[in-house]
Amino acid sequence: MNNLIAVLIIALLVFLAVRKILQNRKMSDGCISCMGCPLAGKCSEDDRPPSTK
Amino acid sequence: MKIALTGNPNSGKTTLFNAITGRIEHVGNWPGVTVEKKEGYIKSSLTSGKGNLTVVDLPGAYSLAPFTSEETVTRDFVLNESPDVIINIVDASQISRSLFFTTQLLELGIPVVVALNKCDMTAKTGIQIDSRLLGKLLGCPVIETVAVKNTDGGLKALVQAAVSARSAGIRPQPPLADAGSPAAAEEDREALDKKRFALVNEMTARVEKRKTESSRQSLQDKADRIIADKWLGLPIFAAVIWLVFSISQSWAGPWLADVLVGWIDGFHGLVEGALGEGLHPVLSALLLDGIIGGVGAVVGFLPLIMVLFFMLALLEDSGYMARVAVVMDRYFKKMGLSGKSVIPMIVSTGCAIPGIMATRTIKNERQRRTTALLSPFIPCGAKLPVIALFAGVFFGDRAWVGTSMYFLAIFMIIISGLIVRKITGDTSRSYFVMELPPYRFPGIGRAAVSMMSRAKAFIIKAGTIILICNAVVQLLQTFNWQFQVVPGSQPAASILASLAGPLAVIFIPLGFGLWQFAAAAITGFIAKENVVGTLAVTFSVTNFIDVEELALISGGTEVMGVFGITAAAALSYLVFNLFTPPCFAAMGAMNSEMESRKWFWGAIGFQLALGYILSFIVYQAGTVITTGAPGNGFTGGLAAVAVLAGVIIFLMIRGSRGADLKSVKAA
Repeated sequence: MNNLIAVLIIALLVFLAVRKILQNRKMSDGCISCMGCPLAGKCSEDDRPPSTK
Repeated sequence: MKIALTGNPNSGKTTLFNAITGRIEHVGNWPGVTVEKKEGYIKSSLTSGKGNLTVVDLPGAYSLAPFTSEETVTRDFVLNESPDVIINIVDASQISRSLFFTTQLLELGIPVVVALNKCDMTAKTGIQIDSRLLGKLLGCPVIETVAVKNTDGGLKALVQAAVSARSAGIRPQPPLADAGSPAAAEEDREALDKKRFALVNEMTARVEKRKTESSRQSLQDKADRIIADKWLGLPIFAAVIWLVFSISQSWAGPWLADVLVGWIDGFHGLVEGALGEGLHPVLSALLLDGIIGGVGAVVGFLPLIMVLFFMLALLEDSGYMARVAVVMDRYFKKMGLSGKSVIPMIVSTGCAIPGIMATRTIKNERQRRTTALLSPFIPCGAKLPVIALFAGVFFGDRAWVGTSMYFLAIFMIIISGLIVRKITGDTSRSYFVMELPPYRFPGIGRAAVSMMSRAKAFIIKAGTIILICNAVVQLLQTFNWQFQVVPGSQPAASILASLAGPLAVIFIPLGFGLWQFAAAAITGFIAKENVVGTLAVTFSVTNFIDVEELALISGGTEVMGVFGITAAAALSYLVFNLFTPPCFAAMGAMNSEMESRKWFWGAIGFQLALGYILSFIVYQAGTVITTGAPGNGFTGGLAAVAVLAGVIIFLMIRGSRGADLKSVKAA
């Protein structure tokens, strides 16, 4: 039972983290720089590296 | 309805934007903080039920004829995107300079409302402005504002004036009568500018009364004579930085960190206790060591970073950092840069990405690209946990390690700037003119908001990318290539060790040729905070703040025994982490601002070479000093360093020859 709870907790944490990363990517039009970028989700078109769009 | 906020640099546009929208965009008491437009909605408490009012904060500009790329953003927006109203923020203490831009805006045919900002400062400095008369002369509403004030500060009146100006639909009458005529368009711009200056001077003379004599030295001037002095400026700057690092890394920071780490430990224990001892070892390692332990190790440094950011925000707000640009200008000039390059570097102390983006205030292409290459050398918020960790574990005095890293970065920026100048063969001179903002008592609230904003970004990063990375690192460390669980006593048999092991060989001459450090170096490229998280996972240490726990893990022997490297190697690792390329996100920003593949890859190569060479020198010299003999891998490392240095010297000679040829052709 405890193993199942642990699996669920891990899955939930990973799901939330991945969802947040993907949300930021979506808001940044898919700019891969959003990984760890403090401007993630609030950058403008001009900020994004052309190579990563 | 769309309202554009425009005005001269450092007139308080972003502060006003934050005040009327409730957002927390970065502000600073120097020109050039905002380099791109930002959009928000005006708070409903200020609109009196007038619906959604969009406001756009634009970078500062002195005129509609742009000089830098961020001024182009402003010009393009007001000319091409037709805002419904323009709010022109005018610094009340500098109206003679600000009104030049105002008169140009009035010629666009868009309703303009002037926000006479910083009125609290004029009252203190004995300047009186007749805002009614100014409004009559300009032919538009003039509202007195104090954007930094916690209470209204004229903001409601300003928003209402903007709404009324739009509803009335009255086009302003340009004060310069013939500026909008076809004849004026063909007229020589210089002559038109002279006319405009004459008009502005006449207006200023009528509306402004100054009690102070301009020839008399103010207290601010006296302070500048000391703080920005060419001899005293640098020692004062060193003392200030040492104080900032002392408070954040040695005094207040660790005390607060101990409290937070206690909570994290408590949470770790709670989860461990709740799930019981029967938990599968793989799940236990993944959840407790990888996710909670790894993320907790990184988050544990948050108080140190928050205190540092708070101190830096106070310095920014006081106007001191603008003086640092003046102090550094004379050194930067020698490498073909100027004090303007200092601003992106100061911004980089928070994060290299906005720092690199701030380089667009630099008009000269080579200077802009060189600054984008060098700005990531400044220790950013993400590198600080690594510095704090190694300073705490290997060196008794944490403050001098952080301070020395900061000044080593500045020193290497100057040296690297000289090298890049030689490589590019550019011998052009640089000029620096900067408007020094007035000193002011730093706002505790503003600094706290800035600190909390950065802390939030740090926590989000820890809960997303760092959590995922630590989980992946833990899994790769748990299994071997046959997907069997690796015994705890043989971590070297894991997938992670076999992947990072070959890379570790090239780090032997640098003193940290262990697969754990190689793995941390790789994950550090995703986000620099990952270095701490990966070291926590690979060395199974969940608490870096409490030194006692580290001592227990090493079996009561020296703390540094846990990592298996010497103090010289630890310093070498810090130098390597500081000068090698930044995280991928910052590399993306470099690529974007440099606008050249050749420059971008050259910059990455240069950063890698510089990081390796410096790290080698630090480790080998440190080992010779402490043991009397060179460290491991000296011969191989020396050969690698000779090759890297040889390539750089070759490029410098080639660049210098190219410059000589150019000058001969020009002659």
